[in-house]
Amino acid sequence: MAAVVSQLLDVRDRLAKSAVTALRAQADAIEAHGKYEEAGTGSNHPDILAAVTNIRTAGEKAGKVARLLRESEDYIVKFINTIAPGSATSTPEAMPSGEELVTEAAARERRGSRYHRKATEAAANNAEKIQKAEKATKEIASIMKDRLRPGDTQASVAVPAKPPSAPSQAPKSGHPVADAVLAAAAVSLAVRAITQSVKNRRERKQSDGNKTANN
Amino acid sequence: MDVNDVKATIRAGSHAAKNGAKTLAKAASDAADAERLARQTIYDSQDKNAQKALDKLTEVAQEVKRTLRRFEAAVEHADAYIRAIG
Repeated sequence: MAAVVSQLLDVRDRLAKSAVTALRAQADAIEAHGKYEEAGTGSNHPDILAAVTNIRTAGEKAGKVARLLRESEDYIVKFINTIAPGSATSTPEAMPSGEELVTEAAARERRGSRYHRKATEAAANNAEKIQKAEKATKEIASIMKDRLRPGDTQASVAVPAKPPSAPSQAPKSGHPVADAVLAAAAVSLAVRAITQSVKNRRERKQSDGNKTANN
Repeated sequence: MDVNDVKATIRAGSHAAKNGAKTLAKAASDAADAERLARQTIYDSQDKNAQKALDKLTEVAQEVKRTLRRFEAAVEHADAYIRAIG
């Protein structure tokens, strides 16, 4: 029995990890969607419209894959607890580290995705924990604000050499994937907010210093 | 945006789309490993949770195929648009 439980715990961990990977694929699709939409603004060409539609669907479906993996994991956990009550709980060891999440969120923001809010909402919807995500966002935004002082344009989007232990301070939902999603969502929102303030400052500077600048 | 900007933006989008497809394929391959292990371990169980867990994984495999096709179609149409605008 111990061997069976141990194998099922392994299954649970693998499913948790692949659900997080599927969410990353969803984030890539949302980023691609933003680019295609930006490039296709004002065009009714069937190919760009088809590209936009297909990538949007790809993102939605990648999110569905993540949800199905989580549901399967939930059933595995219930099954384990049926055959060996109390042996299965959460799987923190299967989750990406806080450092990985912060690095990814910052890298995405540097690539200039303006669809972060959508990505974050999609991720939060997926975990059905929007409220918790918002709360986590506020906490992590304040952590990041402490680390990234205004006035330092580059630092505002740079990954701190030693990232804050953000995910560990986020509210725990009791589910490892949901926690990872919350952490990723919160970090990406925080980075976005800070980047926006830098952008505003840059725009002000541009209009003060160079009225001929065009975009 | 001039034509070159448009092309560059689309290429950046396709780069992200290809990354997404690769990442999803990795998720699917990890999930398939998990599914094999799960089926070996619980093949003779009639437990409804065990069966539901396996059913969800069957659904995952089907959904992944459909999703990868969408990623590919997006990139193909984006490439076609780049050719169309010269």
